[in-house]
Amino acid sequence: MNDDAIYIQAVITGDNEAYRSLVQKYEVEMSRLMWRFTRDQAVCERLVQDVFVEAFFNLKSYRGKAPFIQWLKTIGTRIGYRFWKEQNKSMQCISLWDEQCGTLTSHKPMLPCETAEIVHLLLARLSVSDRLVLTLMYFDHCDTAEIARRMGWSRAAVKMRAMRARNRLRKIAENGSFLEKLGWIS
Amino acid sequence: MDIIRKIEHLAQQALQEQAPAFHVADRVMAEVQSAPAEDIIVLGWFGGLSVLAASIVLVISLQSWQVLAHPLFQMMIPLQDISLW
Repeated sequence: MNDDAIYIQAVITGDNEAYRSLVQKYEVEMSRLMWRFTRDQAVCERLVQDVFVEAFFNLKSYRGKAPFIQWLKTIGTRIGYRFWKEQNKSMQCISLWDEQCGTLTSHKPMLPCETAEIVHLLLARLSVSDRLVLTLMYFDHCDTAEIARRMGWSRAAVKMRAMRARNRLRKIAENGSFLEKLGWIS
Repeated sequence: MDIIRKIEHLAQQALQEQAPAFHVADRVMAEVQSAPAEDIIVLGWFGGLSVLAASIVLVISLQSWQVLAHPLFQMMIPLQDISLW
C-alpha cells in the first residue's frame, strides 16, 4: 500500500487531517494544470481549491486502480471545462487578443509566459470542447484516449473534435493575419 | 511551415513557462471541515422527500374525507328531482 492509499484510507475512516498531506503533495501539479484554464491567479487559485474540495467529497468513489494524481487531473479537467462553459468569454477575449498581438509584431524574442498568453488567447476563440481538446494535447501531453477517459467521451468523438479544432484554429489564425505576425518563427 | 505547426511550436515554448504554485491546503481543510456532513445532507434529502410524500397523501385524504363524511349524500342526489306526489 503506497502513501496515497494510506492517507486516503485514513480520510475515509474519518481522519480529515490526513487529507492535508494529499493536498500538499499535489497542489503544485494541480496548479500547473489549472493554470491552463485561466491566466487570472486569483481565479486559478480558486479552481485548484475547488478541485481538492470536490475530490474530498468524492473520495469514496476513488477505487485506487489508477494513480491518485490521475484521478485528481480528471476532476481538475472537468472543473476547468465547467469553468469555461460558465465563463462569458467572447467580449473579454477580443480586446485582450488585440492588445496581446501587439507583442507579436515587435519581432523580439518572446518570454515563455508571453507565448503562453498568446496561445491561451488563441485557443480561447474556439468552442469550449474544441479548446479543451487542444489545451490538453498541447499543454498536458494527453493523447485522445486520455482525453476521452477524463471527459467520459468516446475516443472517436475526441479525434473528431481535435480535427475540427485544428481546422477552426487555422481559420482563426489566418483571418487574424497570424501567419504574417509569426513569420519570424522558423 | 503550416500555421498549425507554428502554433504547436508556440505551445511548446509556452510549456517552459513557470506556472504559479498555489498553496491551498489550509483553505481546503477549512472548507472541508465547515461543510455539513454527508450523512446530514442525505438525511435532509430523505426528510424532504418524506414531507413531500406526506403532503400528497394529506391532500388526497382530505378529498376522500369530504366524501366519506356524507356517505349517503350521493345516493340522495338522483331523488331530488323526482316528484313524490
